[in-house]
Amino acid sequence: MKFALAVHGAPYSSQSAATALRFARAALAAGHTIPRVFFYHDGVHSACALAVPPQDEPSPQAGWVALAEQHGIELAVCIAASLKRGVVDAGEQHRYDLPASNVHPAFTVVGLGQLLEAIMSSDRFVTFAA
Amino acid sequence: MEAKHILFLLRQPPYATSHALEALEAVLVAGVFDQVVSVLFSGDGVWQLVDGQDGAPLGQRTVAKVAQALPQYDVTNLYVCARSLEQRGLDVGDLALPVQVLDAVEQRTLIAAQHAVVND
Repeated sequence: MKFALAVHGAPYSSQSAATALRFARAALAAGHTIPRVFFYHDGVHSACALAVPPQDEPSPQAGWVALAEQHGIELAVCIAASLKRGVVDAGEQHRYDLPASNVHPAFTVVGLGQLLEAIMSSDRFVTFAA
Repeated sequence: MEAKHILFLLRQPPYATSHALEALEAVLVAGVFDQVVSVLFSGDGVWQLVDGQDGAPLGQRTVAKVAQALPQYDVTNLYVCARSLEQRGLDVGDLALPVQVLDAVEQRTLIAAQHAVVND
C-alpha cells in the first residue's frame, strides 16, 4: 500500500516525529511504500541541519535521511511554516537576503499543495499530530 | 483521478500558537484541488469560530476571519462538535459563520466516509 505521512511536531518537543519515523520504518519493512513525508507546523524543525544531538543519543534527522536514501522517500518541508521558524534553504536565503541557510540537503522545501498531492495520490494518509 | 473525501479535524484554540491559522491555510489550499473537503471543529477548535473575536490586540490575524473565507474557496462542508460547544457554554448563534452541529454518532459517520483525515 502507498502511504503518505504528515509530521506536525518538532523533535524533542513532542512524540510526533519520533513516532512517525518508527511508523515509517515498520511500514517499509512490511512492504509498503512511502513516496513522501510532509513536515508541517513545528514539524519543519526536523529539517534543520544544525541540530547536534548528544553523542549517546540517536539523531532523529539521521534516521529520516537514512530512510529517505534507502527507500527514495521525498522529505518535504512546508515553505511557509519553515520560513517563519528560521528553517531556510539556500534559495530562500538568497531571496530574503538572509545570513545563512540550514535545511539539510535530504529535505526539499515545497508549497502546501504538495501536502494535498500526497494525500490524493496515496492509499493511506497518517498524521502524526504534535 | 476520482475526487477524494478529505476531512480536516481542527481541535486547537485560535491564538495560543500559530497552529490553528496554519491548519486553516492548509484547508484553503485543499479547497482549490477539486476534492470533497470537509472541516470538523472540535474541542478547543470551536473557539476559532466564535464571532466578534479580534486578533489585533495580540498582534495576530483574526482566525475567525480566515475561517469565514472557507466558503470562498469552495469549502462549504463545515461541521462543529455539539458536545464541544456545550462544554464551553457556546451555541451555534455565537459563531461567525454557518456550520452544521453534529453529535458523536454523526461525527463518527462523517469520519468513516473519508479517504483521509488530517488531524492536528
